[in-house]
Amino acid sequence: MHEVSISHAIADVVLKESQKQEAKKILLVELEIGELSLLNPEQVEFWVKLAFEKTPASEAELRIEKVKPEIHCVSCGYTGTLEVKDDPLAHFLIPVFQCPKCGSGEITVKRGKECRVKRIEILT
Amino acid sequence: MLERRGLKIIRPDEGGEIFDIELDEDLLRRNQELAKENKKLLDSHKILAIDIMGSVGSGKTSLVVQLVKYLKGKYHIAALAGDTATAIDAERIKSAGAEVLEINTGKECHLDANLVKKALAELDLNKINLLFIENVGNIICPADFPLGSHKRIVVLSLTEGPYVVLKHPFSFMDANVVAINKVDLSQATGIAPAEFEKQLHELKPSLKTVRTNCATGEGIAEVAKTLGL
Repeated sequence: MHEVSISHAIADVVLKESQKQEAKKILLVELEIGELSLLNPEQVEFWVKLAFEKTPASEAELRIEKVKPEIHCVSCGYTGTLEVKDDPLAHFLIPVFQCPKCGSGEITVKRGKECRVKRIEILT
Repeated sequence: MLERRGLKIIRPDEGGEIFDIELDEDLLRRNQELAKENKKLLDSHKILAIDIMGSVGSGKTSLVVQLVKYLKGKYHIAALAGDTATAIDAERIKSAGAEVLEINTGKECHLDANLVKKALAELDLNKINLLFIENVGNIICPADFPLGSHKRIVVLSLTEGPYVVLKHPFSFMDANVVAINKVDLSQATGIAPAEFEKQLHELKPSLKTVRTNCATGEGIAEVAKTLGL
């Protein structure tokens, strides 16, 4: 649901930077969206492209990379991916929110929640 | 010449120059940083903050009302009531005995750390030691926006259908406690609370669940205990 406001924020970051750099045109925008974020990359793509209309980014290529979850276990120090449960009813893999090594629930998410404007290419 | 942090890569025929610019700007991180500031502010005033997330009509306000009634002798309580419009929730919580501030988001589907920061500036933080932050009725969007609270409780009611946990696994990843509400309607809805408990435990084994009926106050003492209150 908040894809719209996030997409406007993405467009804002890109357009402000290109203005600062006095760009004639924005050629490429690279985004990273974490798989644990509640953002749907397809919807973000749709809204960002709409926000780019009639701007120097109107013809920019938009690349969105999905970022796999990475956690850190406070109890045993494990760093890595989460275990996923393949539930046929769910149609997709559901991560189990605990340390796959020691079973502790004391985990922090290191990667997988981000929505990042990684890099842009501009023509000046 | 303008100083650029990008790397010049090509000089095309059309006369311009192409620059590759690393921005690395995380839009959700801005909110996360504000949330950390909120938490620091709350810590410096020794206030425990608990946020409440749940679907529309799940019983979030009823839970806060019951918790306020149960705990007002022990704590100095304030609540932030997040809603798209109206002050109905705020009035209900206020009459239970807590200081309340309404946050109307207008059309936005979630509270964010910035709105909470503004609300905290309006409260006398020296006079309270427990803060409830009730989010907008929605279990999807609020999960992306930490507010700076210490604990999260999600209210999940039997009237929402049997598939909420399966459909919205990510909404429970940051929760400490889930109140399985409206347990009195188990027969009418055909949903057994034990089914939710099983699904939640499979998703996040450390998650604690409490069966409640927030209309009567059933289970409230256990919710308070589970939250460490």
